[in-house]
Amino acid sequence: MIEVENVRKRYRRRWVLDGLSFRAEKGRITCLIGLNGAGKSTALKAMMGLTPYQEGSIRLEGMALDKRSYERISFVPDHLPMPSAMKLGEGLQFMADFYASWNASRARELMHFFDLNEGERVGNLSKGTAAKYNLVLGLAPDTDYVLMDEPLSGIDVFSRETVASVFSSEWLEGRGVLLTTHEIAEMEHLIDHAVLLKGGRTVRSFDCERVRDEEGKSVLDLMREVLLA
Amino acid sequence: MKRTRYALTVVLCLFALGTLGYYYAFASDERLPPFQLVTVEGDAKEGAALELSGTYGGRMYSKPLIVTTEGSVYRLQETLAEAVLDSRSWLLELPGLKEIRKEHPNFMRGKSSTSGWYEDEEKLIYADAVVSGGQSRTARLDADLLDLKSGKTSRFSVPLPDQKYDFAYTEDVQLVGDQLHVLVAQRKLEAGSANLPTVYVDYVLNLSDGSLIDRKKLAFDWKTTPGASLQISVVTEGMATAPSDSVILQIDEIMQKQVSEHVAAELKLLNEKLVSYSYSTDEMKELPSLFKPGDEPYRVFNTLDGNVLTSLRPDDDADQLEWTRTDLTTGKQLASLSVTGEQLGAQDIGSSFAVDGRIYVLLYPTRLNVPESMQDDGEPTMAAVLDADSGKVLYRGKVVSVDPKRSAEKELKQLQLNNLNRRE
Amino acid sequence: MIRYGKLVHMEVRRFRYFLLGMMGLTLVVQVAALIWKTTGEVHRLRAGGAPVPFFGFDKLTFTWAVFNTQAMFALPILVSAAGLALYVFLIWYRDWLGRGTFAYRLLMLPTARRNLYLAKLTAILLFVFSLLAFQLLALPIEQGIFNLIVPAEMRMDSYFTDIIQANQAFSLLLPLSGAQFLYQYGLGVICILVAFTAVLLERSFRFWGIGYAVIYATACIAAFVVPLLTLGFDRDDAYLYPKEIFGILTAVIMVVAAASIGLGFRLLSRKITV
Repeated sequence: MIEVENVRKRYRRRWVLDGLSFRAEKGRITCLIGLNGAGKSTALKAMMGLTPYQEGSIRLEGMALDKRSYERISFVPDHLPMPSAMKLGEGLQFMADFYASWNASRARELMHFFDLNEGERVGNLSKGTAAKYNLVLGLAPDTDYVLMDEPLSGIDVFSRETVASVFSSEWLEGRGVLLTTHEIAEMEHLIDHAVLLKGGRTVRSFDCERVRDEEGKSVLDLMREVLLA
Repeated sequence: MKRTRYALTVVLCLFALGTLGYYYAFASDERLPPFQLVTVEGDAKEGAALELSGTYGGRMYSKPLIVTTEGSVYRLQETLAEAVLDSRSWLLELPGLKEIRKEHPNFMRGKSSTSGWYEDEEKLIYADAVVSGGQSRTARLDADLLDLKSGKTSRFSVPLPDQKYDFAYTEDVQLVGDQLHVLVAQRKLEAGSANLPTVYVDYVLNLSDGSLIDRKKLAFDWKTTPGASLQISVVTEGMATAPSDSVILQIDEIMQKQVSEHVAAELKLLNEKLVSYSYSTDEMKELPSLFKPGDEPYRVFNTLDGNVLTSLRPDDDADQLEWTRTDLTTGKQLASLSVTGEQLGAQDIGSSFAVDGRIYVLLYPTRLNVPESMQDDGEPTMAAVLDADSGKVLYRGKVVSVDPKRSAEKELKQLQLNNLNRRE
Repeated sequence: MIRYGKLVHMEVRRFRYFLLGMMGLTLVVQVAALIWKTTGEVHRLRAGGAPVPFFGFDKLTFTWAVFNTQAMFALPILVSAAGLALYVFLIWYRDWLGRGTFAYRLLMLPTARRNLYLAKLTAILLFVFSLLAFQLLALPIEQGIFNLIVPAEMRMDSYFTDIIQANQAFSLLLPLSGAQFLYQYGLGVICILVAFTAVLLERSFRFWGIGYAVIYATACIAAFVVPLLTLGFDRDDAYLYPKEIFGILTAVIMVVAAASIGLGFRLLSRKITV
């Protein structure tokens, strides 16, 4: 379990994260939902050490995060962070070089699944193809947790379908997934747990299926209720 | 197969380090030939004090070097560290000052005048005349006193009555009883005229209370030829700090002729006199000088060893050297001698100087004023040390090429040693 | 340690074409200048021209050739130096430019953040030293070309150290004294450390970052230059002795180096933000 507790982060004069707390459990798909600027991307970046935060704590299985944690957590950001001149195959080799948890056979399977060509250069990929490759890099290693920032945004409909299918596939089985998204309609049936963010803090955190059964509301309904109030 | 992936970086590393390593281990050595001063006759210890300096040609740029009885040292370009560490070495390594810096480093801080020092068994004194301030000039005399027995320091600062001078230079500091004499050369700058005469003043301070007792202006009885100016310099001691109760002044009457605008002015020495001024008696006495009419400036070399004045004069053809030794306390002439290059086993006499009762001479085997084609037949430069009072040859040595793999004649041809110094 | 090595390799690999380009440029420009100058002179002499004495030598030497092609030989070196100086900054900013901010990837690697810093530092030094080594190797090659152009009766051998001293750029970049090399490039390394830390300051504080970076760089430079200028190591009436001033300067340099590395590491591990 990844535990985020009372994290506060300031950017210039604004508290982007203002007492954010939530949990991402292994074997479940958790989703951070919020309007633009609610701090979703920032939360993920803070968890990956890509941006500092002033207060609070983030713990992996009870322990503070250090460099070894990143063998156990992978991150798929909202864009593909690889040099444009690099070939896809070279990118895979890069990951293999630095991650002990890299699983080369799974990487090959994923490349095949997404229909990607190893000889292609990163700079020549379309947005949809880049998103798929991004997923390969994030899902191939044997990590316990996968963080994804807006995995469906900005890509074409068909690529989106392929990406969405990953969530119910064996690629994510047994892992803890934390993602952020705008496309709540498409993702709603895939996620287990939702965390609603407003003003940099958690306003509502709930189990999607339970809410649907008990209150008869969809996640979108709750979103409207809580975030637009 | 996998290993060769890193070949690029590994090869680059080895290439860079290997090549640079080889360069600095072997290739950057200039392989300049070694030379040495070897004894021909006499006491090797006398020769050990000699330092011949000059240049070695045969390469693109001539390489400056120093040759001694121990071998040769090439003065290569200074490193950054040396540039900082060796700065001010001309001042800090002077005989006398070097010892003060070692024994009393804190006392010596910030004191820049080389001639402002006085040291005897009880006291170490530094005095300097300072002129400061733009329009409203103030001149004062600062004196620092270190009592060597008690370690106590005291400081005096006395304003000087002559305010109108622009420059003041401390020429000599001496202690007579309880009176500190500071000989100051003062000059006033006036726009347009460069040759205003320098005035020499002996300021007398009472050491116990630091007050200015007296101010004696040195008057030189001299009628100058119209158009000529007097240039006065203090005959220096070997040791900057040595006590003495008089100071020797060399007075040169110089006529400056500006031939044309772009050529440096010609200096003609009309007359040269030596005068001694006694601090205790105020007496100015003329001393015999070796100057002969027609001599160019700086031909005669005068120096003081305690109370003995040595005057050295090489003759016109550069094949003979004459000198006198005079005891200033008695006024008696101790020696009047000369020596020829041939007597010393060479042809021409190069530079020479006297220090500590000895005459040091640099000698060349061939004539100096002969066209280059006939010179430099690979004959060695020589050096000799003579006793100043008796004229006896204490040491004679010659410069040889040390490396047996090189042609001695060829290397000596490229070697030009022009200066002689005494090592400290 | 292994990951550090892999990072160095990655940095070298990213720059390899530029490096080879600089080496190629150097060789091409220098050889062209050499051929042009030397064949010109040989023709002149063959046509009956009188030999112009060169430092007392009558025959043509490779030293003469290097001496007379100063600007052209130095030009590619200057271009390379400027390129490398620029890359001291670009080696960092490159990871943030463009569509794919590679910085994300690097910062997420399961390795100590200081390895990123050290790998970039090592890479830059490797580029500098390999270019110097290349120039050293180019010289005997160029000398060989010279010997091919000039017939044996018209030429004379040269001392290698004379060749180096014939061009001002060479004697500056490849000083004959090993100690001077260490002092010069040691100071250069420290300048790179200050630059790296300045970049990291800018990347950590974004808006105010550039201000902090400039202040930091200025402070480091001032810490060294101010004592150098004011303590008066070459002034006769200075209070401190040269050895003491040297000690102070050395201490300042050590402090600046340690501070830059320490601050750089801290910024990279705790304050940097994408």
